[in-house]
Amino acid sequence: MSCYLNSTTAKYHQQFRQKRILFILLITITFLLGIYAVCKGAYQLSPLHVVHGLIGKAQGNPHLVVWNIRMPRIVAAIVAGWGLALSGIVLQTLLRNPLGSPSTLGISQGAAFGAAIGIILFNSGSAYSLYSVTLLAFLGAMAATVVILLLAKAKSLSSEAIILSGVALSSLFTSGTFLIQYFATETQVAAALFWTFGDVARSGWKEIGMMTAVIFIASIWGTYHRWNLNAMLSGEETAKGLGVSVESLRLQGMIFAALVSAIITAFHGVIAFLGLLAPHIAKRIVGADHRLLIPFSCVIGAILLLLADTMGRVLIGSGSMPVGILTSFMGAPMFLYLLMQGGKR
Amino acid sequence: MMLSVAGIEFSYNRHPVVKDIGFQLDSGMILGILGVNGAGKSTLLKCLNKVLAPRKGSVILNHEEILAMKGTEIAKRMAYMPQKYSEDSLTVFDAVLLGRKPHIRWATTAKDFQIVENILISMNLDAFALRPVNSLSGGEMQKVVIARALAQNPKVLLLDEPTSNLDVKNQFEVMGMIRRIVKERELSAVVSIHDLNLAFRFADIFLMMKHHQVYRLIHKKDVSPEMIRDVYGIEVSLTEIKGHMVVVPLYEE
Repeated sequence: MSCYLNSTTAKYHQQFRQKRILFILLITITFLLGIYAVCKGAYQLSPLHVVHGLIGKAQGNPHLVVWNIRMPRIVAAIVAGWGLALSGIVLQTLLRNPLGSPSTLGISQGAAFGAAIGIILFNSGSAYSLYSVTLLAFLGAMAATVVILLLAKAKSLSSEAIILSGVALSSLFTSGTFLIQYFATETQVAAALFWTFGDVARSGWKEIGMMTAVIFIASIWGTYHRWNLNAMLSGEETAKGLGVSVESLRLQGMIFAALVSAIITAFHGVIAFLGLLAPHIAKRIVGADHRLLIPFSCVIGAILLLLADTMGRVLIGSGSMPVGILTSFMGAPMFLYLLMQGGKR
Repeated sequence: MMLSVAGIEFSYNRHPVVKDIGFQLDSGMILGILGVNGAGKSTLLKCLNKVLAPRKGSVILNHEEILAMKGTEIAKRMAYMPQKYSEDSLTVFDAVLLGRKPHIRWATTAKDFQIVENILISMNLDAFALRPVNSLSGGEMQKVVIARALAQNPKVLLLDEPTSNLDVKNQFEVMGMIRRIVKERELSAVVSIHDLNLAFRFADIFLMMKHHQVYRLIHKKDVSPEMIRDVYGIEVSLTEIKGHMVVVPLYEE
């Protein structure tokens, strides 16, 4: 193995190691950004306070601010960003379409429709209203998913047709939401509209726990199937020839992706664009190999959402700007820029 | 070693596409599937390794029924290269490493890398190893696909129009490479091919398909112009130039 040092395999491994170091760097950035985000806000905390607060030594206000106000939204931003990126990359690969994401498949719009039903028809305001709205949003997202899956399965639609049915479904759900809003009072419309602005500050530790559990399982699924997902890049027939059961993989993956985006959307409203943007940035950095692409997309998603939320809090001020507005506002130009850069393809 | 195929049937929406097809193929041999567009050549190939599950029939390789196996097991024995090759954004190395997928349980091993490296070197692909496949030319891309098939370490190669997008030099290079591999590794190859001259140059046996059925299963030396007329509906003349059998279409406007 003396010639091994200069071999292609050695170069390949070296490149892989460099990417791994970069990944550790990104994780570190996420942590630092998290600590910065805990410090900043209407109630300023010194890093020392924060460290004290985090290890549970602080008392009184610093403790409350750290654990009850800032940490939940920071952790929620990280986990939600991770999850949205994960469902984006899984959908993009399985549908072999760069447009795959919860919002192009109507999943987000389904959630918004469910939430509108909860807020307007079942007239929220009771103690457990948040939960009933969340539940209905979740059901709405899953309804969209089930319709897409049934269409895909029963008519064995191509991936382009699946995306197109998603677009049709989005518009159906959106008009459904408008219809409900048309018959509602102004306050209800305002509440329903406000729900759709994605905001990571809505969930407490219990919600974050549930969301994390689902996203954790989905991440394991994606990691387990990283080779199968790589095979999908070369086309369905090649994948089948390599022993991948394409239909079952697609079904499982779409269920996981939908579940993840449904639970995120149900708890936090619509956080647009992240599921598209994060995987596209990750592809630029690490290429198409899912062994790297999945972790990179996820951590980039986490950083982006945390960054957007922190910027909304710190720069724009006034405590809390819903992050969903910022992700679209900043994400869309960034996405266009990426497309211009990569025009060669 | 013998590949033995019998009674393969497949229909799309009740329209039979492949009817009762069978053949036998020894190792070290290339079978060329001939027939007009829509005769069922691609479908037949896909039925052999269950990319499409045939309604009836059997595919027996070394006394084992392929059609009863799971996908990964089939992929360890048969490598399939589709006609429509999707542009792949993986690097060449990863694309070839993917051929090891049926053998990988959880993680790649040193053996997998050794196999990939050897294949890349033997096919002169190591210079491109870290480039994305979709940045290569058509001929190079086709070589990557063949390299991936070899990484599967199969007994049988199933190739659907491997030369349809290549210029004449690449056609001969790719087919020559396939023949060399088949002879050296004692594989069997089933190749659907439109270019008759290329087919006569590289295949040993021919399965001529007509109306979704076997019209003739025949050795190269027994092919006659009448058979080609019957299969393709065009008069041809068969001649020999410098020892190579050549088809000249006699089509008049």
